[in-house]
Amino acid sequence: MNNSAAGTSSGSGDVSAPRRNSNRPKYSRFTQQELPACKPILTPRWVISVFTLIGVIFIPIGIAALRASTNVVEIVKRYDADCIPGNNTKAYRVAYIQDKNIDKTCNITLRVPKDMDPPIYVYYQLDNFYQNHRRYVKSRNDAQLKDRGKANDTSGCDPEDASNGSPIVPCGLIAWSLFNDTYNFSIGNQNLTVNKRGISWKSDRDHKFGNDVFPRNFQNGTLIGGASLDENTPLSQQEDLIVWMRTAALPTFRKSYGKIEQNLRENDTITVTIKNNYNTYSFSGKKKLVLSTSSWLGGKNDFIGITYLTIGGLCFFLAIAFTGVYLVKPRKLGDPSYLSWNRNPSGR
Amino acid sequence: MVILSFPHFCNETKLGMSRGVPEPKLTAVDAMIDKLTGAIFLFQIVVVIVLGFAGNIWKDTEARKQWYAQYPEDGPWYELLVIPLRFELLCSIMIPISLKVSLDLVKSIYAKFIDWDEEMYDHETMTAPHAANTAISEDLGQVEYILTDKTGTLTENKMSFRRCCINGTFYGNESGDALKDVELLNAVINNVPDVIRFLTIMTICNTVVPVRSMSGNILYKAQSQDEDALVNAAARLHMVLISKNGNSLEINFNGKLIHYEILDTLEFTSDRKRMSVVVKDSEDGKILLLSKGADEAILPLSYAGQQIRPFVDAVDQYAQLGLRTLCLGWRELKDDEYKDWSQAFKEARSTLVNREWKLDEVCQRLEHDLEVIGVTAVEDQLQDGVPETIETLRKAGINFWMLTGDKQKTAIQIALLCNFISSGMQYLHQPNVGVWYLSLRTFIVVGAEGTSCTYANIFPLEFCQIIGQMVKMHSKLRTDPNKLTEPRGQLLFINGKTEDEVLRSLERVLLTMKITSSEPKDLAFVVDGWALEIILKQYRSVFTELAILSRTAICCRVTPSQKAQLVELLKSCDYRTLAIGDGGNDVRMIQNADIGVGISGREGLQAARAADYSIGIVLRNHRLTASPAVAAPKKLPIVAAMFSQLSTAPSFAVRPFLSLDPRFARRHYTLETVKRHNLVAYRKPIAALRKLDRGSSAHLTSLGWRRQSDLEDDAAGIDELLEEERRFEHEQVTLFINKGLGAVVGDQGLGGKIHKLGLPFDVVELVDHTVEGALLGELLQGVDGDEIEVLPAFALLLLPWNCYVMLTMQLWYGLSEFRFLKRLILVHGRYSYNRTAFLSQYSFYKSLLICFIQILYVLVPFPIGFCVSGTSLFNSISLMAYNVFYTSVPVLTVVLDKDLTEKTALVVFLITVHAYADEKSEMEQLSMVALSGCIWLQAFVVTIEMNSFTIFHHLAIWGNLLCFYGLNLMISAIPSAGLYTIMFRLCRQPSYWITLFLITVVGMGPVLALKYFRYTYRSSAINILQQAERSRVATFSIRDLDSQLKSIEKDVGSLASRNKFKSSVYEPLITDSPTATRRAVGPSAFDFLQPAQSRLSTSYSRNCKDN
Repeated sequence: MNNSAAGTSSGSGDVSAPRRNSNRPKYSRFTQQELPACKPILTPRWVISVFTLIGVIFIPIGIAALRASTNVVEIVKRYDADCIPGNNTKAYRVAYIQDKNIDKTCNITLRVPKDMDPPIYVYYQLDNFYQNHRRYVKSRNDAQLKDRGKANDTSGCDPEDASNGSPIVPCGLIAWSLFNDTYNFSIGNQNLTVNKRGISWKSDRDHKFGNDVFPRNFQNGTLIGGASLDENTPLSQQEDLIVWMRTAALPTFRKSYGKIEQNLRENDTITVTIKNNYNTYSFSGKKKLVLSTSSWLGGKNDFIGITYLTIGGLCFFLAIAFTGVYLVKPRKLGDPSYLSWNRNPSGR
Repeated sequence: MVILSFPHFCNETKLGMSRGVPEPKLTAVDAMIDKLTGAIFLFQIVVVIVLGFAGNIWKDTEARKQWYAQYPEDGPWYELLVIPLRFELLCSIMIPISLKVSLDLVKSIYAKFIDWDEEMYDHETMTAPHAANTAISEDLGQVEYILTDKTGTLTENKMSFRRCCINGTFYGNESGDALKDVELLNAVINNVPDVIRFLTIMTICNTVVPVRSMSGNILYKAQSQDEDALVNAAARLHMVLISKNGNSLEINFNGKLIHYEILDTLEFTSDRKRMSVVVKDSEDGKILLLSKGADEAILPLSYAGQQIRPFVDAVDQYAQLGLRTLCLGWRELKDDEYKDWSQAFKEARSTLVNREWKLDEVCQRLEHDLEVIGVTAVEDQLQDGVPETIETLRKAGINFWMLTGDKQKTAIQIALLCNFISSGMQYLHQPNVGVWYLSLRTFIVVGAEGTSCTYANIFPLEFCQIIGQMVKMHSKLRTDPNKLTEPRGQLLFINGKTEDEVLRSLERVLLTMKITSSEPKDLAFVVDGWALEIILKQYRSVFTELAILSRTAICCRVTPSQKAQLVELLKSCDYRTLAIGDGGNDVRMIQNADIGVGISGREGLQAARAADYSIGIVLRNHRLTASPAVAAPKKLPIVAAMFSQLSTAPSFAVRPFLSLDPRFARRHYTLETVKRHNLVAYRKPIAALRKLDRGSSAHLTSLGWRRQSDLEDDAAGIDELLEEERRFEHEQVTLFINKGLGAVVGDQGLGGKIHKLGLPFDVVELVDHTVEGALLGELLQGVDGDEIEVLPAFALLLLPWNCYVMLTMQLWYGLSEFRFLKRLILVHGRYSYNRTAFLSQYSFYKSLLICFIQILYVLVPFPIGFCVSGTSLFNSISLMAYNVFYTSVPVLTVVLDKDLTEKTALVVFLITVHAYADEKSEMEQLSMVALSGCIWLQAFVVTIEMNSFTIFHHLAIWGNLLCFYGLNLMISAIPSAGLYTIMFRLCRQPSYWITLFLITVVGMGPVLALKYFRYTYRSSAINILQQAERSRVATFSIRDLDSQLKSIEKDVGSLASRNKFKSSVYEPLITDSPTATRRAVGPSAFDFLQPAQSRLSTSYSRNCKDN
């Protein structure tokens, strides 16, 4: 037969020893979707005990948090209105604050409501100040702050990147608008020392702000923003700046001003001499001076304690409610008579 | 230089033309996702516009006062746009872009699960299931209509010759096997002329190719199983087809060699329903026309005066037995007549326009005045487990339509056999009397011989007879007098020859359907191809109405394109359709359906028959090979490059062979002929392509190339090669020589030959692969010999590439047996659907969550005058990590209740803002706390929504949480990072942990309570089954449940009518589609890796999906 005549070839590439069932799926529990699994189901007992447990945990935490918060002594004093003489209009206030020739010193008194143990933190609180504004929050250059050689790197700092043709160090709106009110505290005639060291994050001082970077050409432009900086102090020691440049996420924020390391007695009267320089009047922002002790949870904040108590209570309530429902109207889980097709169509 | 030309390729081939235009397949979930994305986009636009306006106003009124921001006095005009664009950026994460990618990932994993499924592995043929399209597996869980082919899908397609009727004499009636009928054997021995003629037609009138194997046995390679059965039967009756060699053909009859010369072959087409050959008897020089075909195609062609009544009777009788019949006829041709005709035939063959039509016309000119000589009957048995599968799926609320090319009676019988019409149909069998209840008012009493019937006027007499036969044949089956309750089955016929008749019949059926639709009855309509043609043209809307009402339909005598049209019809009613088939005639249906499932044949028998189909397989495998989930995507570009150059120089044509991944071929085998996997690796591509080639030459007669018997020989040769290698794997590889295409090319002659052909490159490579080269040599020589000859192999190579995009859009699941469909749909479909739905839901959730927090951040200081400057709370790294990393890992497992998005966002935000107020409100810290809150919340949400936990779940959830901290601590250790020390700082603060704990509990508490309440007091069917399965395995075994459900399942009909009953369990977001109420599969059963135990319940849960 011609057409089926066959020659042979070396067949070197022959696959010998064929494997049987080579395309049979390999068995494993994974491929067969038979992995061992635990399948929790929401039994009443389980759910009720979870809610009870949550209640049991939450209420003590809530109490502890609330106690911590109430133990914190806090003095908050708004001074932006008081420090402008006379009863006046907004335009007047803005003009007042922008006038360089007026001495803006003003005195306020604070009464200590309770004994305060050191350290007592001094904060200034600004309201309605948007440090998170998108034009503002990005207006800085971290490389320049860190590295002496990168003084010319002012990208992103617009419009406060350069003045008089040379770059500003530190550049950007944030640095430019540095808060510049100052406070002096005294009890009677005795001065209260405010420790301004260590109010910023150590990590910032060490790694974000260079200790060989000095302010240059700062606040030299036509528009003066906030405070000016000492040109002989490296940035890593300008702690007010470092604190200020940790931008706040919310329009109401507090920033560290310093620490008072001295006991304050109840009913002590503190006189604060304020240099009221910072302009919050044009956008109707408030300025407050805050003295506060701290607890393991931080400053005075009732929110966590109250929420914990509320949630704990709610959980207890739910647990009781579920128990009640369960006892009054028990329902067998997985009872096939609940299946819709098992129900009497005419009933229900 | 050899010149190849491609008169027709790609879309111009018959395959290309008949393919139709498959639409890109979108699953319901995909569509829903698209809609949702659109909605979210709109929402986003609204947010952006509103906030943009507010921002601009705020800027003009407030921001100017903020000296520290140094707003320029008057910016350029586009300043107005800046703020809206800022918000757009801020909200851009609202649309989960990663969703599509995640979905694809999950789906491809899912497809692998289907591939891996051992329970769908056919041990007999060693065929594993195969999901070729990974994209739409979740639609498997939503199938509403299954359209199935009959032959090879429901039946085995293992034909065996059972009976025949030669000139009025019935053979095989007693024994049930004509080959054992003594009378027939005697007739053969006695040389009864009619019987001899009958056998001759059986032997010659086909496209079977005999192949002599090494051991000397003759094997037949047939395109259709019918032909194979006939030729084999003839061989057993001593009429052996020895060789078919070009145009000459040899038959050994009782030791005597008879030579015939094949002059022409009039191909089988589905329109003509017959084929003929013109042969010349070498001894007496007579020219004979031998025809075989369906009864209605052959009997009308009988010469005037022939009694065809006996044949009609025979056909009827056989059909009632469920046998496939073919009529054989012949006629002697005058020399002149043949010559004239032959001329016309040649012309017709060489026309380029309308060739098919012309060929048909010419063929008809010859096929007349036949002497009908007999009827053959071939049996095709049902596959294992088909009735059970269909029953289960029907109970699951899936509607079945059977579309077949067979006769009505055969179709109905098969349908009854496989529970198609109604599982509730019962009949009582008493000695000699069968009673078939069809409805309350209509019942039939059938005598033993099917003689006496009482029937309602809906049913034609024939039908009763069929039932009589049925009763007789299956009397042992389901004989349970006690179960004789109210019957529920009814068959309605739509028939008629004219439009009026059809319409009347259609309307009658529709009316009946409407009346009875309220009753829990099974109604099925039966329609034949002719009526269907009219209906589809004229009464589409009425038919659509009918199609919606009817759960079951039997369409007989339908053409491939009608099958496709029916699929379209159902799809246009917004149903999810699944088409299952095995043959070339199902390809269009499979393409058109939402889901196409192919049955890969047994022992490779069907591979030949389903030629187009196997091309389809290869094409899709091609894609599979290219898909990243499987392997080697880099191969594709190479192939692509090759193809693009293919038309410019013949030498390039060589490349595809070499550059094709052997995998290309291996996959082909996997699905088709499993035993061929032992081929030498580098020979596989060629073999596969040749296989393709063969398929094309067989099925696509009008590819536009002069089709020659050479090609067939070529194909036969290849098959022989494969066959031999299969059998003698350990022997030396045999190089086969193709006579039709060229001379023998041995190992040594190759290099030279290639050079001679002017191949500029790759000669070395070719020489290395000697065998391959040899084959190529032949191929090219064939090209050389005839400059206009085109090798289909090349053209088909083009086809895959150019049509690649089109074809790959269709889904294809390969199964080896019909019964696996059950598992494919009920288990894999459901899992996949649930998982996809959850994944999508989750993705939307996570995007919205983070976005809402962003928006809240902008809006929260509202009383004071909100800061609409468009600052992002989260830094870009956090956001990216959130999207890509933290939330993509548990993406495989995660879910969340959609209602709670805004609330949870609010919870996270408010708690964070209040807990971190005043002196702690530093930007980075605050953002990290909020982010941690989201992550924690999500971990717990996943935990609570999960139904089962495997090691992977734990890894994904808790590992993810650990990853979050690990990564952030790492970033916090880098001095230059913006997050430097933040995470360490936070981790040391008790307030951080307390805040997170608070967020988690406040976020999760309501979810847990709500879920518990729903789970216990408003439980869905799935919840109940889950509870039953999990909590009380000891007391309430699955088996009980099983039986319980079994008894319940009778009410499935009524269940279906309760469609409107909306799921009380919260539904996945995704199911809010128009059809959601019909298919709200409870989401809580979302199990990524559910153990076997739950599989049991799965199918039941599916049953109750409507609840």
